[in-house]
Amino acid sequence: MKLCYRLAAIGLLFSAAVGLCVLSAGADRLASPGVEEIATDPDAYDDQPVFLFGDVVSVDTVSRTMVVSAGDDPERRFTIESVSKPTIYAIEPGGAIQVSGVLAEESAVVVSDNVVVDYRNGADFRYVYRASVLGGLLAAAGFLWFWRVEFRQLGFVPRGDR
Amino acid sequence: MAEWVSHVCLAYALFTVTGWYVDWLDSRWIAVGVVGSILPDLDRLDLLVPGDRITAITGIPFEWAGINSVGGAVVLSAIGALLFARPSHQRRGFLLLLAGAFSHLLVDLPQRYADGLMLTNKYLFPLPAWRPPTPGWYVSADRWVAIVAATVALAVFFADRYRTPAPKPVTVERPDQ
Repeated sequence: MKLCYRLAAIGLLFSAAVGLCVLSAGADRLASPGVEEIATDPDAYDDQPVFLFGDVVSVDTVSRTMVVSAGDDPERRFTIESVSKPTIYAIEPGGAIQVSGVLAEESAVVVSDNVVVDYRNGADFRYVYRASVLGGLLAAAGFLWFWRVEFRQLGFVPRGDR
Repeated sequence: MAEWVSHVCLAYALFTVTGWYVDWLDSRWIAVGVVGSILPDLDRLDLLVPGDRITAITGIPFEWAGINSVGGAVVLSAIGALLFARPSHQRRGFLLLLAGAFSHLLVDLPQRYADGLMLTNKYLFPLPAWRPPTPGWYVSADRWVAIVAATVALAVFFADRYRTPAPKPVTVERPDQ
């Protein structure tokens, strides 16, 4: 394939990737209401089931509740109630959770059925980022061991007979 | 998502074992498949350029999660394949990148979710949303996932190193021919 055709095809595919991101943002593929919908009309969602991902702002082990911040724009805070004892003691502010439950009190409260702790604290985030950087370096090193950039053809070609 | 060490190790093991049965799937193509295994997580570009900022600037809804999906795997694999200079390499490159990207989505499927269902509504995009129950085996920060993945990769590495390749069939001509 000629270089100009390849570049044109890459441009088209890049547009397709951007299109996927735009379509994905506009698609409502979760049965549960999103933070944006809840923020628009909080009263309307009381007693409705909800499934949220959020960052933990504060934890109260006595009342077994926590405050989480969900969504980016708008961001909204929810108080999560009825959190199980092992979960409330496992999580720290700065962690991240998912909650499934029912909205109450003008959607300020989620009475939880189940809480899953994704990241207990900052150390869990750091572990995932570091492991991902290491994995990325391994993949890149393995690839560049066998392939090199040929600048005249503007593409990857094998490195000899390794 | 699982962290990338797990994705890379499991993809290495998958493609190395597949290479025992497919002649052309040698180390250089295994390396391509391994790169494919982290393609869907390019949606982490969100950490550098948040989708909300793009939406605010352009006025068009945008979320990087669109490429962490079946559709994203196909498009990103095709872009990656076109970065190979030769057409024959482009075809194999596409196949390996796509297989690697699908291995990523497959590894991400059995994660734990609070509502008890897989996040297939995200991964199947743009195919219809469908959410079967999840076995809930792990969350991203579980260390044991990387330990198991690295153990599997090491076991396959040593098995591959000390494995006796199957003998190639030898054609013997009969004396009377």
